[in-house]
Amino acid sequence: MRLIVIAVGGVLGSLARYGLDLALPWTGGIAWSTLLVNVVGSLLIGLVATTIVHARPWVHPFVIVGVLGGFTTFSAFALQAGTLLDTGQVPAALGYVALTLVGGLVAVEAGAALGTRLRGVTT
Amino acid sequence: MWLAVVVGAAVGAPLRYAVEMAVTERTRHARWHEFPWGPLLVNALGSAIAGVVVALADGQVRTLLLTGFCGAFTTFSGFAWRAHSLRSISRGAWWWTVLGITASCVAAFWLAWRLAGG
Repeated sequence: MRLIVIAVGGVLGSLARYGLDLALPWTGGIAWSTLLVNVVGSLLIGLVATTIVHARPWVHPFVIVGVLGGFTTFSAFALQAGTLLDTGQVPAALGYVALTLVGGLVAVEAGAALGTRLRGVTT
Repeated sequence: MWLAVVVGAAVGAPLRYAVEMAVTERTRHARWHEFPWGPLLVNALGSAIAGVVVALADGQVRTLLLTGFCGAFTTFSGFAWRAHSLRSISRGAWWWTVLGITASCVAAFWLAWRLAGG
């Protein structure tokens, strides 16, 4: 059932995110582990959504909704930016938000461009 | 701790899907149907829940709800993909949508956190 496939993917993606959080804990300033998962996750969704998403029916629920949805996070991003602002670290907060948004949006464009090019090569 | 993440995520991810499906259905014929209402709702709601959790919870419970549930319930990749789609149909306005959703989520977190006593 689709919800189970999504749950499994979500668990895998979240565990990967958790592992990165443990490896690069946030000690103030830029939250590198969250920035990493969000930018890499954005690159991957661009790539997957333009290539293999229609190859199998489980790719969308498992990879896109599940794994990538679980791997990336908006709540941690909001928490970190909000905490930085609350403690008066405005330049760090703005820098972190800018890095995440620009990084994530450039990544999704790059992933989509690459995926589109790959599809063009194989058809 | 890993189990806490598993349990939280196993609930968060399918719930995100259910909410986004419901939102898409309800806004399909609405005026601004291209606006990412789904990502806005799950991300703002997830951020607010995170604010409450940070104020009130510790240890395993915190990990389950924050890293597990909120992390899986919210999404940056889905948000990024919708922004990418918006960009291809509306040359300028998409940036405001991105900033607006981000600001809403940061505000939702902070407000919920403060209201919960953080």
